[in-house]
Amino acid sequence: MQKGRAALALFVGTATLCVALAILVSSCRSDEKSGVVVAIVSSLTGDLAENGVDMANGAKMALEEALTAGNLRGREITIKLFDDEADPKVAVSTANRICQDKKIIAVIGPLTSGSASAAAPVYERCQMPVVMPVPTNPEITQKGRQNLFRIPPTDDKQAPFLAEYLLSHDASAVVAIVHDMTTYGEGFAKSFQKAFVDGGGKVVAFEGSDEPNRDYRTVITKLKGLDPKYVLLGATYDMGAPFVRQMRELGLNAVVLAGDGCYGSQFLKLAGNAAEGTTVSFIAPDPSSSTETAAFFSRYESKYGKVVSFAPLGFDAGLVIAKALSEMKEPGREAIVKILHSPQFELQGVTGRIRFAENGDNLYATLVLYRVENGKWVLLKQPTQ
Amino acid sequence: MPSQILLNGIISGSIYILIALGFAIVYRTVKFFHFAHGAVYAVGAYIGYALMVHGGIPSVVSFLAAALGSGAVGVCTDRIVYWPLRKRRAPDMVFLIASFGVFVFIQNLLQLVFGAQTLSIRMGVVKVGHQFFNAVITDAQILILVVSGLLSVGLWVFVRQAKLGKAMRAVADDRLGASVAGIDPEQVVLAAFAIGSVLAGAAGVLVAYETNIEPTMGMNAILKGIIASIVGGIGSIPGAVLGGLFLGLAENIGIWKISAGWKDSIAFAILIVFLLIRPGGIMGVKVRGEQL
Repeated sequence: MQKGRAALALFVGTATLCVALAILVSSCRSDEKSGVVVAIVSSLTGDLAENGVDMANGAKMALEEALTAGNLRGREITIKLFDDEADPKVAVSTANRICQDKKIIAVIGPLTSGSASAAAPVYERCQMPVVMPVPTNPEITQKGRQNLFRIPPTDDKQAPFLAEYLLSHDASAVVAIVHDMTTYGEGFAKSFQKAFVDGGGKVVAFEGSDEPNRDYRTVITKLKGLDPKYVLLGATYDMGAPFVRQMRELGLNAVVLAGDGCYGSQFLKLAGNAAEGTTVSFIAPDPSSSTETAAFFSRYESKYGKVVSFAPLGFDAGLVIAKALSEMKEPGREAIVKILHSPQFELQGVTGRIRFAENGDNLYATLVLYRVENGKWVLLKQPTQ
Repeated sequence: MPSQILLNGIISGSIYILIALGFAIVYRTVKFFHFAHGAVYAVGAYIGYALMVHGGIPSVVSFLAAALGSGAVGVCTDRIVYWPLRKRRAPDMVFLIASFGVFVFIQNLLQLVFGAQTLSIRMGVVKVGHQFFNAVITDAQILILVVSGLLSVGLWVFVRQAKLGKAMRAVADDRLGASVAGIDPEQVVLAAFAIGSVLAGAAGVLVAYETNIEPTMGMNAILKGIIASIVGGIGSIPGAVLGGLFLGLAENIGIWKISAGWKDSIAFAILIVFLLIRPGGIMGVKVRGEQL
């Protein structure tokens, strides 16, 4: 018995040593690579994986194109992908890992507002420039942090945009608001409510529902009693799709309005014909809006397949980093932050012009409206500045 | 109160009943919290999805296959993980941790095979459900009510009348005594895992007909199943039915007047109240302190 234990201890000890050695060797090897590293943080697995991969592909494509075109002063850059599973806790631990890696000089991502606001303090501590292609919660950039930059318009612009559209279109409409109790969903819902009520609109309900088993029938029953003409969803498609389906089954025929979280092919697939008429605001343009955008869409499609949702925004975030790298002699975290803040830093992306305000928001962010018609997203309103 | 809310409560209660029944039948015989039961429920949903959507197999056949497949997963869990632990007379805490381990393992396996995104079995046109006492009910919901009702009654009759059912009760009451009387407790444990897991798998497919499926769907399901089981009386078959129904109704009636975000809080508040005031649940099951 004694012998057996000793042998076991020896075995466990050796095994642990081997694993430690393997990790050490592999980490040394990655350090051997020269040049700088750009991290792309997105939700590559988890409920929002489809959107996350789309965004990451877009960002990767921009950096790779800049590399092949030789726009980076002959510099070698490595792209590293990180998965935060759209989970704020994972986002924080990922941010810590990224900060500790001295080779990483810029971050593109994350996908969700929840991840972005959770990880922001970590990135601030290590002065990491973070270009956010998708998070739209306004508060992220309102805390005086110098290192955060964002491409899309914020919810306090997006939700009022939707509210204004509704007010101009059907001012007397009765609206019920439901959100998914996330940073994004609740922020969007509140922002819509404020703009709509300030503009003279009538809101009859404001409900939050966090349903892991996707059963929204009691909330819908409550709404049905109030007979709203429109239902605003502050939610991503994983709630949006079952919600509209259950609405139709229970006979609530209100028009569904939502933000960018419900845009995408996954919403159409999961909601089926219940999606018809759903109108969403979105933060990236239609392929038809300009020749550059159309060219981007065809290049992306030949490489990764159809654009799901956020690839153009990811691409623009990649362009921002590529341009910053091309303009600097000594690449470093603080140098990039400085360049992105300079008033001369301006570029034309596929989603529109980009220049960062003092708080890091994009001064030229654009918004569009889409509606589901015959199972497809159809552009309803052209970009506005 | 709108009859729709009562109906919603009964329907979500029916799912809780199936999970709680499966959980209870396993708990009676092995006396530990088989947490991986939630993952077995998710397995049922995914087998149903794979067969129906990828295999194009008719829904009745897929349903049966998913339930039986989940049963097999439950039995394998017992044979591969719990049985060796039982042989070593591992303490209860070890079983609990092992069952968490199995839960995470199965959940990650589902994620690797099917991906993490939300999937849906439901195809075809979404239409308004049938009118039923001023409420609306869909085909999938009628199916949930019928299957849950039949399985509950069937299980109750089985435990009362069938030889194996009686053996299960004997082992639940006194494992040593039962083995003296010639019952093989291991056979009974195996049967309990098989039956319990079939029930979980059935619940999984039924939910998949009705809403979406995600690899993480098992966690909330098992938590609600355990609450229903404790509220009804832990390990009791009629208790699981009453507890499930009570929980479903309480949650849905509860959020009728307050915000829907409180739904889970209502469930856990009920759990705490029962644990403090009536730990034996509705059925008044006698519990020794260390069992809970």
